[in-house]
Amino acid sequence: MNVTILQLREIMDKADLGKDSSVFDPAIPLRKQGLDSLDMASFVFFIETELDITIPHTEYARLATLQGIADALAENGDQWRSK
Amino acid sequence: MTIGIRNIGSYIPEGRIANHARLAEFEIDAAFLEGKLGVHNRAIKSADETTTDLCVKAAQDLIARGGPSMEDVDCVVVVTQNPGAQIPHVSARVHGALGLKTSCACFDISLGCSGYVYGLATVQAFMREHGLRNGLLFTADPYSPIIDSNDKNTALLFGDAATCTWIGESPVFTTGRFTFGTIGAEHAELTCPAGGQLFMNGRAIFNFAAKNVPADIRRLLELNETEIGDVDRFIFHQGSKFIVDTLTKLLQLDPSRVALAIEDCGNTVSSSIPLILARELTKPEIRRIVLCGFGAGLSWSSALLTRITTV
Repeated sequence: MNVTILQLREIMDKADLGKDSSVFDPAIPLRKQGLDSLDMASFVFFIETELDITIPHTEYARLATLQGIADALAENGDQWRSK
Repeated sequence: MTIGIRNIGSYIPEGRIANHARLAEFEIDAAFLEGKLGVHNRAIKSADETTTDLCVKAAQDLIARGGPSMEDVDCVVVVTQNPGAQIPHVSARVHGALGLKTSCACFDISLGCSGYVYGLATVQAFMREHGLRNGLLFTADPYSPIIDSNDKNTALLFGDAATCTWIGESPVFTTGRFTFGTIGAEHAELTCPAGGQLFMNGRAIFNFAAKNVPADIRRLLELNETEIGDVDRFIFHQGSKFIVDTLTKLLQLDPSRVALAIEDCGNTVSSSIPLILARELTKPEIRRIVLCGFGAGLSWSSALLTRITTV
């Protein structure tokens, strides 16, 4: 599943986290750029909803950066599609 | 026989633990505590107060508000997963403490945060089927004995409280069709082993609620042929301010229509909904209310209340 950084930013805006998605560096952990644990939970929920996937809890550690999320989706996104 | 909710008594222990004192310890700031968790203080029962004691104090509050005469109570149901002692059921102990008549039915319901809504459905159906006139539905699930005070996922959230809802004829609110749901495959995300401490995967519980509650409420409204705009108040289980805010956003609700009361007591499990509902009883302008409880199980239930009269 190919999802671009731009698409992830659009999903982040839909999640309405109170922050401008364009300021986030894709390579730096989102938690170090101002998102807290609950923001991250909300962001992941919106990714799942928008892409109609279910990400296993065991994979959450890979979702620290925008680039990490894009890489994880490219590698496993098709397997995570909701049944 | 039309039965429904007549009145609600409650008891919130006076003891408080201030979460602001633990910010550094948990490496969070005041903005996160106030804006996301929403819990400034947690209500904590005294060490010698039992679940039965909490119920009795909620019943005494109901009596003070004009509840039923105790000799007229036909059934007592207690929603709890923290009964204290396993045997007997808490409702029997409450029955004894209140001196209720021997023909009064008593049983407990083992449910967490969805328990009040399930309890409303169960007690009313039981009363209708057996011609009972006055029922008391208690919620009392003190989590303070099962919380690991060093667990960041739970230590700042939960508070102790109890409520007592009088169900009978000439109600203030009647209920329509209910909805129920369970995802038992994910029960391990919120557990407490016998004699152990609470474990909660906060992210999984958030995901569960965000995915299932909005869809369930839309289904509830459809079942009851009611438009979302016709609902005056939404009372969601007060898991945290963040989950209430998220559900508000996902359902595109005006925040003024959504109840939030977690700041000075915390997440009181099955008591969180009736604590708020008690305040709404006296507001004649609040004519339709949606309730939704969700949590351990993973379990949820929703109900639509319609006002018949005012307290």
